[in-house]
Amino acid sequence: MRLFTKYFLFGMLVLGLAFSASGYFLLRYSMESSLAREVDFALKQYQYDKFTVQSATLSYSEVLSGWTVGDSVSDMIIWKNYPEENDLPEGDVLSQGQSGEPIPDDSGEVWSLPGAEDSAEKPDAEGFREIETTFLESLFSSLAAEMDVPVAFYSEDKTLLYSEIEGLDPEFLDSLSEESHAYQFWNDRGSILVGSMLNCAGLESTYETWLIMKEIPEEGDEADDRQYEYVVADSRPGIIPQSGQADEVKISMKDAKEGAAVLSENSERAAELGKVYFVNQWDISKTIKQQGTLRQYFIRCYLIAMTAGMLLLGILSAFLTVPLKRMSKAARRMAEGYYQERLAISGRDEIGELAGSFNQMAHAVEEKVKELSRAAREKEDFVANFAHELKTPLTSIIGYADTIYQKELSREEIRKASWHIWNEGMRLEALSFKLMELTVLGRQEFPLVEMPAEELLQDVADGFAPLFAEAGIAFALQAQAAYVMVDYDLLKTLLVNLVDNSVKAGAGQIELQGQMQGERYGIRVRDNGCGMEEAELSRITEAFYMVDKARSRKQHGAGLGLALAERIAEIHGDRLAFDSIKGEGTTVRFYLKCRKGGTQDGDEEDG
Amino acid sequence: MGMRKTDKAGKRTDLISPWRKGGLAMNLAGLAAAFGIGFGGLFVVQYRLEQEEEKLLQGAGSVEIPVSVGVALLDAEEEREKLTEVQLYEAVQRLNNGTEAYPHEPWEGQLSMTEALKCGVEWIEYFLLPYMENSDFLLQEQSVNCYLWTWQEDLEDDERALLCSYWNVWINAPELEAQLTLQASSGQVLQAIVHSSFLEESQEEDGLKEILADYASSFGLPGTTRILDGGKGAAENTGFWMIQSVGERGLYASVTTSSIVISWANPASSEYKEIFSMNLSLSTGEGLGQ
Repeated sequence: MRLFTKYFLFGMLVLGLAFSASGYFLLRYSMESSLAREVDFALKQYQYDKFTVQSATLSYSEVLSGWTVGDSVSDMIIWKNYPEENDLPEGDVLSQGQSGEPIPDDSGEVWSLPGAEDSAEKPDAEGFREIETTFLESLFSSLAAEMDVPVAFYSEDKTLLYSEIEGLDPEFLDSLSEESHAYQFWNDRGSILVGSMLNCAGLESTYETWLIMKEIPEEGDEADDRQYEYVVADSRPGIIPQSGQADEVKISMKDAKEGAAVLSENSERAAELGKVYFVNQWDISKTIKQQGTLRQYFIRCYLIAMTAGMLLLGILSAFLTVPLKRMSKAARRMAEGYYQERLAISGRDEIGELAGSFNQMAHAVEEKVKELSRAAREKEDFVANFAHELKTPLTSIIGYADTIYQKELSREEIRKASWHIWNEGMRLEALSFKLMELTVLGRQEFPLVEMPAEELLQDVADGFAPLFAEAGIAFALQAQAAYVMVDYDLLKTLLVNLVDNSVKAGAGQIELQGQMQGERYGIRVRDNGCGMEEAELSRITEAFYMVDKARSRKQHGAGLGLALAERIAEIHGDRLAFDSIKGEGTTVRFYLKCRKGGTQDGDEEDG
Repeated sequence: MGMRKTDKAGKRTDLISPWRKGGLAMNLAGLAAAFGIGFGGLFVVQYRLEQEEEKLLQGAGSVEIPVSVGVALLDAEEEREKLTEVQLYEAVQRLNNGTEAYPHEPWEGQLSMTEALKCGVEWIEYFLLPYMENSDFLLQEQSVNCYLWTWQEDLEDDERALLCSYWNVWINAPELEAQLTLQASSGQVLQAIVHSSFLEESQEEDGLKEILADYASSFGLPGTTRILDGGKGAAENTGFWMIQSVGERGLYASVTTSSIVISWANPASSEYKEIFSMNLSLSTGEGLGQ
């Protein structure tokens, strides 16, 4: 799987989890707190409503208040059935003229029983029970009318007294008690039900049933058959029957007696109605709807945030992976041989560090490759140097061999020429090993041994003697006697190279001079050859550098002699110093370490 | 194996796309998973929230309440102690300075509803009715309503909640409507708003002084009880207003009166009725005289 995909996947995972978790907890908190607040409101509302019910049960509201009874009703019969007087003696139950004192009436309207004349049905005992039921309903409906929320009342035996709450399950009543306000969410109706059991003992103490009768003239002769218009009313708080709500039919005295008995019985029942279940319904549908709206907003916000997050993640993933891609590309380029490939990645983060490390590695690889290339070149140089260094000794050997071959020589001369041939051969052998060590193995330290400087210089001069003689070169050797610390073969190679260069420069005179200069022994090679420009002096010790390429090639030069000479000088603790004037000649100097005082047993000898 | 080519240096390099090399299917699956995780979270949250809501809306609970004492009217004969001046000051100060009312059942030491009603009715009967001529019948028929409340924020301090808890009592009778605010422990009337056509005499300045003095002394606090200020209201239907100091800690009793005239809708009728209003209250002086 690509790194981009991994970054993207991980980012989406983090974003998804973050948005989901935060949204979930936020919405859940909002929902819980909203519902908790609604429960709080519902409980408060219930408490207010409960106060209203309890207040009503404590009220001494007279049933007649609000009735309009005129003075003309002089024959109104008012029968009071007090709870403690259930067994009222006949004769006292109904009495005529007790309403002699007219009830105050401000409006002057006459009390009437609308519709009484149209009613043919006489109430019986059942009818009175219905009346009672009507009153109970009136009691609670009038209470309910004072409340802002739907309510329901149940008797202690869970008989429904009055309900404005549709579909209320009476099982809810099982959880109600006097000691607590119980609530229950009613999800189907988007509301909260709150309820408890109320002590309505006030009903017991204030309950009165009033049977108010008005005689209808000329109907019935016997007392029991005499017809009356009547209204049954209730003194319980809040029960103020409106005209037309009460049963309005004619009644005979006999029926009135029976009715009085039923009412008496009902009053006992009402008295037993000491406790009722009171339930109200608090609407929370708006809150639930608000939560739904909130969730809709969350969905929109989530989608927007995730889309934006996705784009940002894509950009970020690309931002993170692009440098890696560039590194990968650079690595491939290096694999293809472009070792100079580098990354231009800035920044101090891990990617920047990685890029830095990559560049370091690339640099190291490049260096190593260069080193290997140099090693390979050095091997080539060895071959070239060796070939180059072969020329001079071979020239000497060939010269001496030619002399022995072509000339009639004395025994001594033959022995001397043979010695030179042997000597140059031995030097070639030693030189081959040292050149290998010098150029191939890169050896920098050679053991220096003490030897007479004049001897060394003389050996060089002797080696060139045939060449000088053949080329007609005037050679002068001045060697102050001194003991110098040298590697004989290497230093002779150095001097041979310098003298050989003078010969190649077309010099007619060559001077080799050795002289103590302070604590050191200075060696100078001076010629009157073609000389060099000053600008070329700094480069003549570079390998394969040739001042006059045409001439050098003609003379079989490779530009390696001075490079090798410079390295040999370094091995002896100094560097070559060149002075040259174009067309006039060149002087080369260098110094050797020598024993303190420079002489052996204080002797000095001129060569 | 992917396709390969040979470069100039003779080295062989891969030609195949890194996408294919890394597994196109894996990458596509990874991207699909990223989208799935990113947008799938939304559905998980919705599902969980619906479940939580369903669970919450199945919930139920209950709040314990003190069981109401007997509700038989006028059955409480216990004499209540009046508040000290410091207590009274705090109760009055808090009365109009809350944010959310909290109705509650009477706590220990507080008046029951019966007692609160008794206090209210007795205050009307023994304090107010003597100032109202021909008003003996006013309380023969009545309906009442009342509730007990404190400020929600005071619930954190039990003592304060007990002290700063009030019974509001409404008494409705023919020709009389009264709204009283009682301190819930002592039953002392901290505010009374009364409307009646029988309050005519109390609209006179002298009668008003007497009522205010009576009201101020009803708290039983030591100190001067002199009228501090008073006068007649500027508006046509406003009556008198008076302020009197109560005690020594900056409590003030005040009374304001007003009246409105109600005439019948029938233009032929010349009858009308004048309803008088009186507002008695105890305060800490904030807003008085305005």
